[in-house]
Amino acid sequence: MAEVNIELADHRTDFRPGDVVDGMATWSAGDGGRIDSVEVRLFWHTQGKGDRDIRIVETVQFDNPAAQDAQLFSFTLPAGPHSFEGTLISLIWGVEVVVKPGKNSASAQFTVTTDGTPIRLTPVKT
Amino acid sequence: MTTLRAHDNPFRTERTDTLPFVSHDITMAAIMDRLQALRYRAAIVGPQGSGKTTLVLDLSAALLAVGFEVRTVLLNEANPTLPVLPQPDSRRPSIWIIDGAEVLSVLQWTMLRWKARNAAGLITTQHSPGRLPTLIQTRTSVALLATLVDRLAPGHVSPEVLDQAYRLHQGNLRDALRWLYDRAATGVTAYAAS
Repeated sequence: MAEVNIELADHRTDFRPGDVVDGMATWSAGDGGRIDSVEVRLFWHTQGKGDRDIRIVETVQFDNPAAQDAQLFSFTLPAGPHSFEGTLISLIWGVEVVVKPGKNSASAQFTVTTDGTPIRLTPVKT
Repeated sequence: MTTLRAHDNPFRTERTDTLPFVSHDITMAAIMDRLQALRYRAAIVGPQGSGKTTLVLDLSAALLAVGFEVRTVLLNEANPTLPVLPQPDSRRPSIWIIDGAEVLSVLQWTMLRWKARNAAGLITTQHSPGRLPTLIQTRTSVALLATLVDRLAPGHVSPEVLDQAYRLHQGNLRDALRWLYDRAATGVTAYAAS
């Protein structure tokens, strides 16, 4: 089974719209293993009680990947959506590296808002 | 009031969706054996929230693993129309799974059986027996709910709350887990019996 890892530059966890997300993906197929494809994805997804929304915003593919390697990636964040968190739903940004064959992946999460802190949704009494 | 963020809630959809089919009565291997004995034409029968769709997902993975191609269609009241299913691939045996077959009219069902005549298998989920031999009748119990909850939030939900969740939702485990989500969302102490 491959070993996969992803790291954001300076271990940064808060970004603003339009910022550049830099990082490094590393992988190793292990003894005698092979790697067919490596893809890094910029995405956001919702978590909570209801159906989940997942949007892959941008991807980077590394062609003919070596069995063991490290590659830098860079994404420019769009204007939105902003990160938010509430009791029913949260929106979370992240980057993920997916290595095939198999389902080997690793991800790192971060916040995207104008002030770097997630928008906190508070319950409204009706 | 203490609240739990959605992405910290142990009953969030991301986690409940990963729960495997659990039965205290039959193993997955026995289900696969029975499916083979029924020539891969069978129905999963049970009430809402009893694990039919979860079993479909697990069965799909098991069938793929033994070399079948699996085509799954999800039907419900909002989406009752059967899409055009491509002809089975002659190079790889194809099994069609129709989740929510109870919404099909007699005419639609007849057409489906005709179209699937060359497929290697046809599996349906439905609320009551009929149309195809029953592969398994899915049932729920408080013990089954406890098993699932223990995977999501081990040791955090009292037996009294589990019993309450089960009774309130008349054995619908999906709804019971959503109810537990709401309790967890309103504060960690709400896990315990009130």
